[in-house]
Amino acid sequence: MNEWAAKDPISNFKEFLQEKNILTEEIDNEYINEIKVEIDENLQLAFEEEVVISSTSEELNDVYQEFEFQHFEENYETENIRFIDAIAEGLKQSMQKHEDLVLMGQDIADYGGVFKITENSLTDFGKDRVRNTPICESGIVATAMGLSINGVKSMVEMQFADFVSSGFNPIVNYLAKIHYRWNQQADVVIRMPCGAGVQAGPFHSQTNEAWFTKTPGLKVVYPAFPKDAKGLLNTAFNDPNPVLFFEHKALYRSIRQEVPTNYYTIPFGKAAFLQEGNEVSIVTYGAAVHWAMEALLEFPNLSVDLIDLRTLQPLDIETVFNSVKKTGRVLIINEDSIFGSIASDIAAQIAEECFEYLDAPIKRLGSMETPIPFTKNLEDQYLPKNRINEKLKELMAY
Amino acid sequence: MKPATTEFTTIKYPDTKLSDSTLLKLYRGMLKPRLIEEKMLILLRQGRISKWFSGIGQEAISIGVTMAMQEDEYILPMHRNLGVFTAREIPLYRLFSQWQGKANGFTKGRDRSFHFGTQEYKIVGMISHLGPQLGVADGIALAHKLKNENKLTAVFTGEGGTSEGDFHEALNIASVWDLPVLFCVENNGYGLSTPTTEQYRCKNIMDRGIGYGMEAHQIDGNNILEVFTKVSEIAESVRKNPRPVLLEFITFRMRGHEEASGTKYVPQD
Repeated sequence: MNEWAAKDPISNFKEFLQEKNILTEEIDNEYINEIKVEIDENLQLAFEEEVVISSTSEELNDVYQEFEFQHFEENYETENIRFIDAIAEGLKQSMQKHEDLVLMGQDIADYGGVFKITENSLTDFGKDRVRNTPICESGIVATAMGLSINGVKSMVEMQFADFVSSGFNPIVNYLAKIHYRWNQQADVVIRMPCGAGVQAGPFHSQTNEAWFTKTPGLKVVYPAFPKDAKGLLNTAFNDPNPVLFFEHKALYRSIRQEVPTNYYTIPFGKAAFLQEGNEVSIVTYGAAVHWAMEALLEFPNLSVDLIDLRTLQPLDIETVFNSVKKTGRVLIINEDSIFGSIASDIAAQIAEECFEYLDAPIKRLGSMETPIPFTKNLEDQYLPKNRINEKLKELMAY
Repeated sequence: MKPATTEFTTIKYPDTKLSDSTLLKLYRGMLKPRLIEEKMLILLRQGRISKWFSGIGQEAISIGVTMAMQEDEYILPMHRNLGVFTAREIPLYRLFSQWQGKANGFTKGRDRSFHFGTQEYKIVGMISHLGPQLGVADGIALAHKLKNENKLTAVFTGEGGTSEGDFHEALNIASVWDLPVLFCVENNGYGLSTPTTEQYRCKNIMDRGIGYGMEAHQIDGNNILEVFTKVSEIAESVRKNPRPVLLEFITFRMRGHEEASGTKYVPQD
């Protein structure tokens, strides 16, 4: 301590300046007095200032940067393309629309990404805007944050959504909280190839959207169809808030749809009806939407409201409530294991808001409470897909 | 303010061509955060403020680095870099208001102490996890590079922060992308109470530069003239030839991690 006290940067420099006759005791005292007056005056101002008062609505409003959705209409020209092609098309059109948008991810440049979504991006947009990164999720998410602070929009591709855990800290603590803290936007889209059903084992199969819906400040999108995927991805790039964009890998090459060829947008927070009926509501999203549609083939006479949530934050809970109030029965399906899942939270909200309309207990269906197994038999057993019929019968029999 | 014993006085100031007014500006620049801190310690003892992270003894680094930067270049300070905030001439009442959680601060009472950023003064404060801001500096620097602006970004961490994975990731990214970032490590010998021998085993933090293929310098962090002239020189060179540079500032903090923790873990001699 004594040795370092002797190395005090200020007293030593003062002595040095005095020896050189640059600083006099007089000037020094003048500095000290000026600064002390400045401190006292400013402290006075701060002490006199009222304690901060805010309303709950003001607090909630500042969690996200204000974003006015701009609707770009779909044109009539369509093409029958796969889910993965729709993502690639949205990405390309957004790159054209936002001339500063930068893509970052592992192996996304020359190699085109492990799913080939950015296959032609390097040729189309050059290596400044299409950037291979080292293997470091946390550092790259933080880099995306820095780009946004300095006015540049970016996308981070997680090679697999599972790996986001290595970048979890900056997402939930930096991107999610920065607007509320000091009014700075985090204009970042994080693409999340996720989901099971492809025999990829515990670290390439997770659907971890609930890790993020738990954290205020993030938007979470989870489309089930090519057309929605493209329109929602375009909106994600227009929205200045951090967006986690989930893409189910099993849908990439298995689901096709007529998709408008032009640049169009779909608003966040609007669920879609795939079927309308009045006996039961089925609420779901992602790959589970397709499982539900398949299961319903076994119930040709059942009149069902089938709701695809499409975005989880913002969540179109009003549509769910209205449907449940009409049907009186509801089954919520998600691919994630059920404890602490989206389905559980929606069930809780329905219980609070629609209790008097219910003719049967709310049913939730999700995966088993285990890690995701590799081999097909085990994975099939893990996933809720083959339990939908049974659950639905149970619900209708009540 | 003159130290009690002078025989340890070892700061050798280099010959510089700096004008008298610049020298005085550096001196006054260091004096201001010191006097603010002394006032804060009094208020703390009076119970009028709740918490304080002292940077006493480390002023030369904040002031030297900030004055070597251009006004529109981003700085990402830590909680001991009051000098960065005062050198950027943030009105003091706004800082005091911020620390008291009031509306004239920068976070509407939502975050405390130095945990804020301001585009107005091109300062991006830390989050408590220390590490992420190093990568944020990479992003800011990348944006400058993509916009063809010859600007650099300075980011601070302590020797404790270098143990985090984010330190490695950020330096590695900056290195492979040739990002104009000054990684300023203030080595004050203690991460809260943990001495450097329990923090890392390389001889110098600077030596890590080799592992990243990155230029690195060790600077006497208590010598304002060495800090200011060396950083000015490096900054000018980085603006012309964008690249990351690792700077290890050797220093010491005279007070505890925060005022409640004291300094019992530091030997008196």
